[in-house]
Amino acid sequence: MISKPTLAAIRFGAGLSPEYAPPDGAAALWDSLSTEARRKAPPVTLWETRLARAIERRDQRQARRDGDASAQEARRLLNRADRDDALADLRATLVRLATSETGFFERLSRFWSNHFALQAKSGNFRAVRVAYAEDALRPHILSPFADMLKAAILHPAMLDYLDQNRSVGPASRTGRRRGRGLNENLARELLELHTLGVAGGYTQDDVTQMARLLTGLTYTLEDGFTFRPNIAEPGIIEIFGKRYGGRPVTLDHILTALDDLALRPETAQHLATKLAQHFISDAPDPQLVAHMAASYLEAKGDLPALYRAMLEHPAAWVGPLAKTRAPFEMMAASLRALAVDRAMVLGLSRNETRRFLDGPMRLMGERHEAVPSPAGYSDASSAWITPQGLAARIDWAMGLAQLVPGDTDPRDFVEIALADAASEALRRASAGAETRAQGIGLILAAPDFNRR
Amino acid sequence: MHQSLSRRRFLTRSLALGCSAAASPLLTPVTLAAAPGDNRLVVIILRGAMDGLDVLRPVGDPNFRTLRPTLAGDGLALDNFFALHPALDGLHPLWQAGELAFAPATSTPYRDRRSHFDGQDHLEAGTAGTLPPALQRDGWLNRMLTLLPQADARTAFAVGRERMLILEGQAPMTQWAPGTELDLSPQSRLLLGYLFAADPLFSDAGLTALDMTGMDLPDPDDDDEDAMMSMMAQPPEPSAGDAGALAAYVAEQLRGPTRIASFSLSGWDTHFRQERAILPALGRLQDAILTLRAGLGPDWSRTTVLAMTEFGRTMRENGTTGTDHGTGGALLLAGGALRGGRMFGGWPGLAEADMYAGRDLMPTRDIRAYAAWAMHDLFGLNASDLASTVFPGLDMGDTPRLLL
Repeated sequence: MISKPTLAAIRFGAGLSPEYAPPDGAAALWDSLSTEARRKAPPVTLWETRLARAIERRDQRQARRDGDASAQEARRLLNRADRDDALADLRATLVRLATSETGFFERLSRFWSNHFALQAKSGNFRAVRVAYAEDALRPHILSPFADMLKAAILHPAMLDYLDQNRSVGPASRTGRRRGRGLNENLARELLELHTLGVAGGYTQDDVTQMARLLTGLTYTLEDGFTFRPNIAEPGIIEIFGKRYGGRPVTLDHILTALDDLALRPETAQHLATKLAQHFISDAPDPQLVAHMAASYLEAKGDLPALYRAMLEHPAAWVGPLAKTRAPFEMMAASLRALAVDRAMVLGLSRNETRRFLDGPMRLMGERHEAVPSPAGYSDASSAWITPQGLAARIDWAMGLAQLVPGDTDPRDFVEIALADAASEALRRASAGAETRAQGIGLILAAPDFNRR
Repeated sequence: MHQSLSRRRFLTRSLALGCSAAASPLLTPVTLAAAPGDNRLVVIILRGAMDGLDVLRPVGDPNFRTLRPTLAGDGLALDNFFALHPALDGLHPLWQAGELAFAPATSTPYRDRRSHFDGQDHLEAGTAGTLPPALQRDGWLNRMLTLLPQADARTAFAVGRERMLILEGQAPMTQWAPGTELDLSPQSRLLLGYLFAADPLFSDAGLTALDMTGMDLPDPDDDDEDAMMSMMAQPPEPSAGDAGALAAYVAEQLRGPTRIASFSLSGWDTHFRQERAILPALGRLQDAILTLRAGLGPDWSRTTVLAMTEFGRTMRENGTTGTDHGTGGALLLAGGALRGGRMFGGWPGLAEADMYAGRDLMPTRDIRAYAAWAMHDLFGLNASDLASTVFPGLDMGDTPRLLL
């Protein structure tokens, strides 16, 4: 039986640490949300910066077409700037998780960034994932879900990733003149992934109607998000028995539909299930999920009510640790357990970041700034446990342990890093290592430390 | 190589178990039996929904150009009705040699929701209708392994960095990405083996990781000098991710004890400007098949490749010169064992009345029937086992006679 503080720190937070006492239960985690949301976290690249680079990239493309010889070099520098910022964002986000009081807020931030997953498509945008999440998702982690949903769906990065900016209402002015039409990519993922869930009872016709309704959403690099009535499908559009749209075509029709989607019981069930599966178990207690979904609906879709319902339910506090730390979480938890100096991490050079953080995380199966699909990374506990992924974890853990001051005793470290979540086998093995460093590496690579 | 590896695996595990008093399924003796036969099967999962109508163009159908104003180009003629996408020109000689074939209109039983992720799960789980619960999912290639009495962990190989549901399940198999290395002291190896063995979630993957990276350690009683020498003489491992490199690694395994391999190629989700967007994916597919053929050498004549996708795409172009998620699509078959140069399974037509749900190509046959017949012919499995264990409830129908 794992104690409540250990469960709180490992299951819901960033892991155990010699610097931060573990939260003693639900109340401490709950209280940490507002303070961690307000805390001055290491900054990441602003969305405006990525947008400005996209404009520059577009202009250079034009200059190159016009035969400007210096454009090639300018483009190389621009790409390097975007890449360097991405590496800095990896350092900053790792430090955010590793050095937060409990880490619950940062874990939620990762959850939502995977729920509304996207990455830059080829074109003018590069490495936009972190900046988009900071811009659209993070401000709404403690808001009504509808606010986050609208911010995500209307964000230029999302409109670009799921082709919404290409979709044109066939009966709109532009559609009629130029013979253009619908692209249902975003409409489908909105229903399947972001709100109702694949079991949410919608049909192909609902997807098509939603695609008609979403027309008009687009962006320009200069102005960001824009609603263009010229490409929006006019007329009444019926979805789930409710009528939207009509003349004049306005953005409000779409916002109303998103508000309605956020409050549907299927959405509540989908979000509650995903959140419980993320934190607690691949097969969470149905009563826990039902309590979460009901609390969410009762609170008119307020996200904190969803979190609170999860934390307050007894099923959330039953061991064992059934989930697996994602590569990023395992790396942050290692840095936290070893109390690695944040300035050291933030000060890593481009090449050090590549060699020590970015490359290893990719080998473990998680790519910074990239998602495998609009569904994000799989949240199944077995998803990260491949031979090649584990080899990468072992390699990184052993490498990190080499950097630890030589007087850290593995027999002490196992208590710091895992407390009563350490198995007897791990205690024995860490004492049986040839060197202190190998003992510490062993602890970080062991199944015990890679569960949460 | 196979023998020394197996012995090492056994040694690692027995040493690891020496530290642990607990009984473990790993105590099962390692099988050194010969692999089941000489035939080889490669299943490539094309993730993202490949547009069969673009890869295999029904240029002889008068509706084709109407449905697809920008996507109905000519291609390389295969017969008097179908043409191959021009970017697959490297595969055209295979068609002429009878080493390439298609089932132009097929799909899994998955219908209507058109979700990539569900669709891929259906394709790899091989089940009809609803999927089994997430915790009990296994793949059809793994269930097929349970029918091969001589199969061991190296008989089937999942290659690449991502999980392959198609090969997961009860039967032992190997998963690896080429280019992975691990520098560990023998003692750390031993202790980690002991820790991984104790945790069911980590044991298979963890012990495989230790085994696969331990290959370059000198084996104290290795008497198979030739195997060691040939291993050292091999070129450096290619990096994962590049289709050709993945296929080269697969071919290398198939020349050894492996008989069944699976990997995936993605990038087929072409909602926008498909004419251009599909080219990289086609290049990877062609590269993979040609590399397999070259790498397998004489064994190509005993190999069958199935390249299958979760579903097809809409028959009509969408409003952005791409295509959206559909139903029926093409299955690509390749290999020297194939009775190729032909189309399997009929053609439903492109007229409005022929469509599925007024938008998609109508599948004429369950894609699992082709896979089942391929396994029947390659591994001598009987139809009733295939229709109960591998694809529960599947009606295999008559043999399409896929192989020579």
